[in-house]
Amino acid sequence: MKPLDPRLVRRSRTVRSYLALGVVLGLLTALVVVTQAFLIADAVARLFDGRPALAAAVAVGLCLGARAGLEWWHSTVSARAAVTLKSELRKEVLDDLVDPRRLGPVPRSSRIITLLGPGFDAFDGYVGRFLPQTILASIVPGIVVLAVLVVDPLSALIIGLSLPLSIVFMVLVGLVTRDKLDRRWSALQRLGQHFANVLDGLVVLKVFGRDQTAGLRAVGERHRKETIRSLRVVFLSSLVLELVATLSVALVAVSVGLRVVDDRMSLQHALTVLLLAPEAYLPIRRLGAMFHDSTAGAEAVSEALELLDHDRHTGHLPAPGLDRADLTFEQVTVEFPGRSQPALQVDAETIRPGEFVAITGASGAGKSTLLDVLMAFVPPTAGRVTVGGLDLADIDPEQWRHLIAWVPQVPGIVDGTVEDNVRMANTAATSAEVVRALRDAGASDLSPGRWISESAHTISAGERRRISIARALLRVRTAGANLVLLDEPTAGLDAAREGTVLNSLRALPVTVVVVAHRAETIAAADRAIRLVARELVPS
Amino acid sequence: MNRRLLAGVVLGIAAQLSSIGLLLTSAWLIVRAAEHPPVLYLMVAIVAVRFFGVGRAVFHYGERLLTHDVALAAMVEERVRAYRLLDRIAPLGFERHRRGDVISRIVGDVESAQDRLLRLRLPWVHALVSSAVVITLFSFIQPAAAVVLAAHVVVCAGFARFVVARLFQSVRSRGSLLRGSMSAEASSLVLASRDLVAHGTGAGMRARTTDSVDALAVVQRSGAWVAGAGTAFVLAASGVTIVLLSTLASGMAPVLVGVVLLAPIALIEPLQSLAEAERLRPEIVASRDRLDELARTAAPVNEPVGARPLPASSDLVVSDLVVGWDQPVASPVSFTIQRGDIVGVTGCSGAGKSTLAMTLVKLIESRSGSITLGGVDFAALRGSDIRTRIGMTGQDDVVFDTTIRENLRIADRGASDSDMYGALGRAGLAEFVMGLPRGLDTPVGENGDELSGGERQRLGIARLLLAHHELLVFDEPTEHLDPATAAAVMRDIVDLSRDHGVLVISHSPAALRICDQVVHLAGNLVELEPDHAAA
Repeated sequence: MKPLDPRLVRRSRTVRSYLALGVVLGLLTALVVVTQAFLIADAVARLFDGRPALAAAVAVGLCLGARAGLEWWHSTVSARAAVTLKSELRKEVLDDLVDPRRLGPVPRSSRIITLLGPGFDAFDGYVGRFLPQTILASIVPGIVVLAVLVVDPLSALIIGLSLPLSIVFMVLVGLVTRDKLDRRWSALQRLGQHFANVLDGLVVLKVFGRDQTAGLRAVGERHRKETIRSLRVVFLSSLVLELVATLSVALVAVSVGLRVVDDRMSLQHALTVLLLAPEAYLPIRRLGAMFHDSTAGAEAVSEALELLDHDRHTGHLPAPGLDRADLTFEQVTVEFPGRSQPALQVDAETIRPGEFVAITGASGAGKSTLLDVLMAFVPPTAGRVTVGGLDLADIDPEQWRHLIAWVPQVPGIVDGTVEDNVRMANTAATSAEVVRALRDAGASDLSPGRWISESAHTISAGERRRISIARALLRVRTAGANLVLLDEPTAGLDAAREGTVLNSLRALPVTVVVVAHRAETIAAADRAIRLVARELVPS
Repeated sequence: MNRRLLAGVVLGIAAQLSSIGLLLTSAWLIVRAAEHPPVLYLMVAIVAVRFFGVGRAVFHYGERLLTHDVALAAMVEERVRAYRLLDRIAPLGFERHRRGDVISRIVGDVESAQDRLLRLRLPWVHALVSSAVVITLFSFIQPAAAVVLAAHVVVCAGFARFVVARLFQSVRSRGSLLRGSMSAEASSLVLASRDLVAHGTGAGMRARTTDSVDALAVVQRSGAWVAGAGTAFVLAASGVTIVLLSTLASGMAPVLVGVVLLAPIALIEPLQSLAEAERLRPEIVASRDRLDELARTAAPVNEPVGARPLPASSDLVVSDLVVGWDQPVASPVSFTIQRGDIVGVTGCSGAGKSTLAMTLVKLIESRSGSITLGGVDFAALRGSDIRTRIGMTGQDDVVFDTTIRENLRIADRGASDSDMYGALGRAGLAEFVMGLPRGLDTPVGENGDELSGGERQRLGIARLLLAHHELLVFDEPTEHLDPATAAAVMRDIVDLSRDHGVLVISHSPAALRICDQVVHLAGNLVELEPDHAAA
């Protein structure tokens, strides 16, 4: 893993200016560390000689105060940078989601919600703690070794040799154990998933009377034993680092001590070297200890950048009205990365103005994908969809969607009243129009003033669907939409409501494309287009 | 205390003392050397310096292994505890929309049990014990210096425990409300994003969400200074302590001045680790509190004391039953199911159909009326006993992220392959499974994602058929199925009624047509007022 994703440095000014300030603070810290060692050694030497030492001691105190100030400043700017970067990336991801020109399937909402919440929160550890320590670890040791070199070249040689050696050893051991560590890491993830899975299915387990206590214990114990077995090897890398660090300090201490005995070195110089030696290793040791602060943040960065990396819709032509134009599929194939079978395949189909077409086919045949293609959410991998002869890819997507009333399988709800939600289709609609749309969507039982929201979960799947159907009716009747796309709109509705909805849809003087499972819906259509299923390929 | 933990703590203290000892012994060695003694006089110090040099790393290695082992074991127990707490209250807190949140929070809370030991408690033990050792040694050198050093340790530890922990707590609580609303706004936007793009009306909501992201950032930025306050304090306090010690050092034996003046430097690392540990306290405490709160939540079912054994007969008589969670959601219903019966239950959305299903397997209590199994009242029977007689497959039956075989084995540990294929066959899934290259050993994926909705549903039905129940409750068995499969499933349910009593909850006329008797459940859902809904 790289400590910092170069893509992030390129795109974020916050990161660049923070890094610049961090380097300045790192240099200052190194200077203070060196000064502090000289001053303490001076104070001790004075006391040893019986000379007045108060001024020297006060200088030491001030120096430690300065170091405290620098560390505090550094941690504050780092924490601020973490906050700024968090909010920048959050906004970027959110903007991207409502970007009309975003192409590609919507990523799983649970994943984005996790990324936006705890995912980016991990920046507190990553940008707030790990990065400043990385900066210190790359600046301080070098300067400290230089300072030792001035005082005592022999000690500088010991530190200067052991330092890179310890890093090389650490990296080598790290490389050897990386597989083990990765395996344990993923085992830990799996254990968490297993636990989550058990909790998720707790009701089922309870219904079948399957107590999982023993199972959880057995799985956990097995994981513990295996983890400890790998940790014995994995922890070797920090053992090597610490061993080299402390042994070198011991080596330096004994060597300068013996030279002081022979008067080949002054007490003050010897103490300076003794105090500087551990400072050369300290930033790297701390960095190692902070490693796990960084992993989650680094993962969030790459996940965010991956999320933002997608194709964009480039069409700019005005959309032709579907009251005259045919909608034609020409050898359309949609493939999603990581799937061996195409998600959708339509060789040649034409939908004429005013037609009521049912899309049928087994699960996984691409029925929903077909609607996504018509919505210009997902581009065909091959072939094209044309509207009145124009390629859909060349048409301005916002204008195009303006002509469409869309009812997805799980319609989204915004916080607000039922009326607000129906009005999403046309903000200028009157209350009477909203009430009529609700009635014709079989939702006359839903009071327009009722408050609903995604987070309060006061709405059932069927109600959600009927609100979305009301949106579609409103959009056609009052906003001039002339294509209605519906994905299983009557699933979960009772027979009476289903009848109401189908009648309302039939009465619309526009093109209707409906993905349907239910015989009643298919019977209501002028004709059906049957999609052929992909085969389930178990991974 | 567990022996491994004790050994780990001792090694941790030894590692900390070695680190302090390395610096202080070296200081003594160098200062003593300046008195030009024969080298022989330095030998003990030289050996000690080398010992501490090796010791620190080795002790630390051993400590980490032992304490990680203990922490992992503690996590296993913590997981079991959380599982039991949830099992007691399920299906409470398991409503479909909340389940994901609840679970991910609990998984996180359980993991923080590890932090509690490794990153909060142990640093305290190491720092306090090793400081105490240094202070005790100092009391032999010069009592006044020992007092100054003790005061230094107490002030730094106190600052960490009372100031740092509170600062973090206050930053956390100031941010948490905004954090919550940011998160809620962001998830609403994510969930509605496609609809907003489709309708071209995303701008307003986007602006609102952006505002809440910014508002959170403002508060968090203003709390950024807290992050390094603790460690900076230790450095500054060490400076002051060195000045104080230097004023005491004039009367001391010259050879000891190095040790005395360097002691605060040697203690910087353990004292700073306290400040680092206290940063985590608010989060760790909150996790603990959440789990404790689960323990205090009342179970949805009161199990009888001295429960009656299951009666021989499995006739289910329901009279004037009113179901509901906290309050009645449906009007009273009465019906009887015996072997050979198929009873249908219908009603509009929200009429409490699924609540009825859960009541019939005693996952929740009835509000009023009575249910008797073989003549014995439900109240006198243990829920787990009732569920060996009455089985249920629900609308959100979970398919576990494992193989088809393991998913089926939940119903019957000892089921053979042919038993499984038998059940799969009756659920209309045998051909599909046999066609898979790995057959029963095919993994179904996370949330059963490798299966289609219908296949998942039929797997749930097959699972139910494999268990040896006498009464079966099907909650919307044909919901996601195409008409042909739905008809096949219903035919199978009719076949099942030869050996079982069956209750089918459905609103599909086709499904209800095969029932001997249809009970209509009329909901009396109270319309939610906006202020209730927002709560």
